[in-house]
Parts: sequence; C-alpha cells; structure tokens
Amino acid sequence: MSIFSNKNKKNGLLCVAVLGVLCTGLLPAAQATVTAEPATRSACIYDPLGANGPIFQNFKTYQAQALQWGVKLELKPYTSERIAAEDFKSGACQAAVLTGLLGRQFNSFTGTIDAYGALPDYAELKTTFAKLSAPAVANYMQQGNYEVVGLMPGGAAYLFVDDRSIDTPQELSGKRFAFLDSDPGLKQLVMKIGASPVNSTINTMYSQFNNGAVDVVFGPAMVYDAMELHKGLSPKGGVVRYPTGQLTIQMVILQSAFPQGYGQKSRDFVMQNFDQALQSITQYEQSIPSGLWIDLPASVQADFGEILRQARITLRDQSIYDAKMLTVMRKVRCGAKPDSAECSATDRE
Amino acid sequence: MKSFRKLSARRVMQFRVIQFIVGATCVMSLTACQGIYKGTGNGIKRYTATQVVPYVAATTDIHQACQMATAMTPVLFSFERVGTRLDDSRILLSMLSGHCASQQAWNAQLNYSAALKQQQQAAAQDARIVEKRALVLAAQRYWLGYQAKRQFFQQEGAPSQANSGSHPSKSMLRPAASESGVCPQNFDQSHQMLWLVGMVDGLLAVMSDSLAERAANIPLSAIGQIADDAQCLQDAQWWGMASAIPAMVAALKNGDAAPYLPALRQSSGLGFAQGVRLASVLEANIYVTQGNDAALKEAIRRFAGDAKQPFKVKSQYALFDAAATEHVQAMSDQLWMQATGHRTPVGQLGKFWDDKAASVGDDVDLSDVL
Repeated sequence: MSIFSNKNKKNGLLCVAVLGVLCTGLLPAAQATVTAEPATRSACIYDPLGANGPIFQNFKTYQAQALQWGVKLELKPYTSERIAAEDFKSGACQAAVLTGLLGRQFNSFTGTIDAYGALPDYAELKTTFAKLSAPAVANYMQQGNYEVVGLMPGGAAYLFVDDRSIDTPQELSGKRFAFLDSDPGLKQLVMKIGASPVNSTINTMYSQFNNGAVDVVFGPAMVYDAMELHKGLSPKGGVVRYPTGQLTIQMVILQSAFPQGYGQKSRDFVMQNFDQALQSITQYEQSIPSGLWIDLPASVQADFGEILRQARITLRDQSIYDAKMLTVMRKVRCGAKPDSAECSATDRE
Repeated sequence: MKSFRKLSARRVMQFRVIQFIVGATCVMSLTACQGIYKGTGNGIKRYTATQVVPYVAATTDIHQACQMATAMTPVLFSFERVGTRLDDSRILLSMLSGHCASQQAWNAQLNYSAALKQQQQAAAQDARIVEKRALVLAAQRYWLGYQAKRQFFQQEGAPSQANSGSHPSKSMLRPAASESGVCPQNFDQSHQMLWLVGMVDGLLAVMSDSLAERAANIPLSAIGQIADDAQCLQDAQWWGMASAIPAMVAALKNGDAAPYLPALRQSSGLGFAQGVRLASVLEANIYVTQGNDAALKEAIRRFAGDAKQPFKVKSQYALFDAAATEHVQAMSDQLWMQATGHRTPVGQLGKFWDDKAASVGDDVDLSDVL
C-alpha cells in the first residue's frame, strides 16, 4: 500500500512532483521564446558566500529558465540564512532558497528529509527524490500558501572529532559537541548519547572546533577545506565515515505569487541535475585526506543507525519531524537493505 | 681481386671514419642543442625576471599585457622541459592570462544580464554557459600562478620554521613569516611583489571557481593560507593589501562582513593614496557578495576619485592599478547593464544613471541684476 493516502489522490490537487537536486552545474536550456510580459518576483537566496557563492550563481541558470515560465526573478543574496527566512516570511521576497533546517518551517514534510541518519547514502537519497517525483505526491510539496519547488543535495553530514579513538557512539559520551541553536533535534540527539551540547552558530562552530573549545562538530565535507578543519583535526583527529544526515537546499515560493503550474515546472527543471550536483559534493569528500577518515565496522554502523533511529522517533513524537516523510525514507532504506532489523521492528517509522 | 680488396678495405675505413664523424657530430649537436636550449632558457629566465616583469608591471595597457602573457606562455614555459624553472615568471604571467579569461567572463556576464533584461531566455542561458567556461579557465590559470608562487618561494625562501605549524606573532612577521609558518628569508622588493601577485592569483582562483559553481574544483583551503601569507607584507609598502586580504577572507568565512568593513575601507584609502587601488577591488567585491548596491556604488565613486581627490597612479606598478580598474569597471558595467541595458559610458566610471545632475550656478546670486 502506498504511504500516500488515497484521500490525497482524490483531492484533485495532484500534479507531477519532482524533488530536484542541484547545487552546482547547469541544466539544458530550453529553446522557446518568451512572448508575454513576465511577472517580476524576487528570491531571497541564502549562500554563505553571498552573490559570489556557487548556490547563488547556480540560480542564474534557474533565473533565465524562469522567464519561460512567465516569471522574471530578481535574485537577492543573503549570507545570513535566518534573515533570508525572515525576509521571505515578511513578504520582502516571494521565493527563498534555504537549507532544509530552516526550510522546515515552511514545509515540515520536505523539511524532514534532513532527519538524522535517515538516508545513509546518496543512492538512497536519489531513490527518495525519485519516489517523491511521482505525480501523486505533488500536494505534499504544498503547505498553506508555501510550495517547495526544488530540492537540492547539500552533502552528507559527517562527524569531525578531535580524537580518532572516538569511533563508537558510546565514546562520544562526555565530549563537547557543538550544536546549532536553530536545530533542536541535534541538541536532543547530543544529550541522548551523553555528550555535552555546546551552543553555537554556523559562523562560530567550526572555529570553536579549531581552537579546541569543542571536541566534536558535524557538517558536510565542504567545511573541511572552507573552514580549515585540518587545524582542529590535528594532530590526532579524524572524520567518521558515517553520514549522520543529508543536508538539503530547498527552494520555497509563495504559491499565490506565481503562475499556475510554476511549481511543477520548477521541480522538473531542478530535478534534472542530481548527478551533476552529486559530483560536486563527492569532490569535496575526496578532498579530505584518506588517512583522516575513520571507517566503522558494520556492527558500529548498526549501533549508530539504531541510536539515530530512536532519536528520529522521539523527534517525530515531538512533532519536529514529519511522520509520513520518515516512513518514506524507512521504506527506501528497507528497499535497499530488506534484512535490516528496523524493517521488521515493531516501532518502525 | 687483391687490389679490389685493398680498395674495399680503404673504402670501409673511409666509411667508418665518415660514420664516426657523422655520429660524433650528431651526438655533439644534440648535446649542444640541449646546452643551447638550457642556456637560452636560463637567459630568458634572467631576462624575464629582470626586464620583462618590471616592464610589464609598469605598463598601463592591461589588454596588451594579458594577450602577451596568454600567447607567450606555451613558448616560455617549454623551457621548463629542458630544466629551466620559470616559477617566478609564471606568477605574474598567470595573473595576466587569467585576466584575459576574466574579461571573457565579464563580457558573457553582461550578455547574460542584457538577455535577461530583454527576456531572451535561451540567449541568457547561453551567455551563462559561456561565462562559466571562461570562469573555469580563469580559475585554472590563476591557480597555476598561485602554485608557482608556492613552488618559487619553497625553493627561494627555504623557510626554516616551515613545519612549526604555528604562526609567529604579528610583530615578528614583518617582514618574515608565512608559507606554513614563515616568510621567505630573501625578501627584497621584487620578491615581495611576486608574493603579493601570487596571493592575488590564489584569491582570484578561488573566487572565479566560486562564480563557476566550483566547476574547477579549486581547494577552498587556499584562502586561509593566503590570509596568513598577507602578514608577510606591509600595508605602507603594498597599498593596504596586507590588511585588506585577511579582512576580506575573514568576511567571507564569517558570513557577517560588517566587522571587517572598516579595515577594508581603510585599506582602500591607503591604496588610493599610494597609487595602486587593488584593495578597493576587495572592498567592492564584499559589497557585491552582500548584494549591497548602494555601498558598491559608493565604493566605485571613491575608486574613481574626483576633482577634489584626484587619483595619481604609481607608475612603477601601473599594471596592477589597470587590472583593478578593469575589475571595478566590470562591477560598474554590471550595475549599469541591469539598470539601463548598456555598460558604463566612456569616461563615466564613478557616475551612475540615477545621479542627480549637479545644479549649476546656485552659488551666484543675480537677483539684483535680473
């Protein structure tokens, strides 16, 4: 039975839904000529590097394509994600590009894709996106007047530890673990494993790791180079080769401000670039010296997986994570590994 | 028969002598060629370092310089095949050939904006593709320059504390620190210039790659090293760049640029006063990053100077100011294109389409006459 209920199918609101992926790279240009005067709309785009950053630059390709859908998008760069989200909410722009973490407030369903440990590898991420592209689930992209019109991978999040001997969940106990105050899920997870949560911000957490103020920090492979984490990893640290989550970048629009059918066209367009986006992400992962990676035996990976699963269930019960999205991702995981214990667990997601 | 044998033996002997002479000549020629090539390479290396670099650094024709660098690079660096290292020349020439690629990218970016303004979707997409290609090329060329800088100073500088891992305090650094902990030991003015140009190469490589959506895969970690390397220079001698580079890097890494803007603004002022406005490019670039058009316009106005504050270029390093001017003009052109559909009019750098016309004659009271 489909996890998407028949009631939703009958609503008459259904259209093709595609969660797309890009972060880098170009998509094929359409050849149609734009004739009608397009509506001018603005997009608040979060990129840590602002207008010169790769996310913002990528949306130039999107900007040109949007002309064909009857919209002239004005791109506004934001180096602060919080301000980008606030400006979007206040109506200063009619579209926003945010991480899944802050995007969750506009759509809890897609905002749950970033749930901890829910998608341990990129193949499962791609499968999830493919499943969510089915026409029957388009209405899940909409919540209120907000519609998610594009999902892009931001890279798997890894644990960076200052001591390579930390290679089991139990050994994280007592360690100082930086967490973002905007992420209540991580704080609970940190406390669950017995580590000491240290309140931080995206601007300070990596420098805290580099100067020894925290023992553990998490993030995509990109931060290794960008934030010079080799300083914090020296002399005996490492990167745990176990994705604790998949970061996503999401484009959300104020649906009423855009032409009918815009969302589906946008999702189709963004979706086409998954593999190219992934290529860029894996380049970052390859830039981490092989000697720094901490490989975990299967039994320890299973331990990590179970701890994260329990954390997701707790966060689901607290209405932080969307139950249906967790089920989608559990089905994807069990499709890849049907023998996993979680697939037959009574408390499965 | 006997005489034939004698004749034949003589001919064989003659043949062998000829063979020996030809063989020896060939061997000597080849050896001589290698020697000639290497000697020529060494001569070119000296000539490039002592004549070409200072000459080019003083030229104001950045277009000619970048085309020269692009065209000469394959010939010049072919001498590395015969053992002549030309890292010092490569630092500057890579910056120049990278500049040529940047020019292509700026033009494509303008075409993109123009197409967007005219709602030509396919033309805009095409322009963006051209822009990205040019940016990748620029990033790769700049990156070669940055690598040449590292290579050159590892050979020349022999940093004694290279593996110390820690950076000496700032007071110790002037002028002796960096490249993983220390500055080059033989650090005369020409070497300092190469050090600075190499850092700019690295910054431009990372920035171009970022604009190309990281298609060139330039390591982001370079900018942290570049910020450290900047401490080997002095603001007073190098146009405010010693402070401007770390401030810009910190602003990019921190996300919130506000704490670093005063330092950048001060560096721009120093560069303006000293005749090379490279720091202004870094400051303006931060405003582009923020999408702060008003601050960008002000920075461009200050860059251009005015009658009260005329700018005078330092002729010895006119090339770098010319490069800075092109960077700033590209930013100005982008603003103009988006607003008006055309570039900055000739002679109007520092002015904008929405400037209010200065009132003429307000200070003359003719009410008692007319």
